[in-house]
Amino acid sequence: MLKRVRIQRDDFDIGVEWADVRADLAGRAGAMAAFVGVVRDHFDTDAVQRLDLEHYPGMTEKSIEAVLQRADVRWTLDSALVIHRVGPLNPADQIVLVITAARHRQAALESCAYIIDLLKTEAVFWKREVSATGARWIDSTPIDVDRTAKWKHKL
Amino acid sequence: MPITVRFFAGLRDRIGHDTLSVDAPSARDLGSFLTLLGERLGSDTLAALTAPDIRIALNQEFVVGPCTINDGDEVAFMPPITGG
Repeated sequence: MLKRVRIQRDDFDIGVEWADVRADLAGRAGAMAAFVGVVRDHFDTDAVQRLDLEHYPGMTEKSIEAVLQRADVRWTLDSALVIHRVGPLNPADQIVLVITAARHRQAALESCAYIIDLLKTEAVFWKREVSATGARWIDSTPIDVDRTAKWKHKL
Repeated sequence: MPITVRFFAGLRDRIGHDTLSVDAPSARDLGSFLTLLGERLGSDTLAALTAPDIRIALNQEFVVGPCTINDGDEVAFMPPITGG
């Protein structure tokens, strides 16, 4: 599997990244899947004005590579890419991109869902939400923990 | 060579630094290193660093058991991660 992991402050262009992944497949893979996460303007009932993302350079990349490795063991991927943004982000900004490529569509689609679910609980990031009432660091949500747990039970 | 100590997210806000450089005799176990940090940062901060939800990483690997800290190592105190 060809792994690409990038942490960056700048926005990304899904078309450029998609073409890069596809260019290296050389006909082996029959399916590609993609997911883009976008910053919401609400968390619970609070209006979010800004989201600040912090990471631990080096360890964050390793934590994401470990997720990709687990996906590869499970689905045998040809390629997997994760781009994650850090720094200040505004509602409607793109925050994360996942692209997977595999021989068949089920593997591409399922691994893409698996990777984004696991990134929610395994990737080394901290999020601080800024609203009209102030700024606060966010805890991981029970929904995220459940989504990761469900993959442990799913064949 | 000093040991680099890193704090993230809410811990960094509380302590007021993201990095500290700590001189310590080589090959300390984690417990005695924490005691040394407590002497430098105060008991309240030590309590925050050793709270049950704080994970410690040594040279970018999560600490899961007893470990030895050597000169030049990097020790990170990490509040619960919130993922991507």
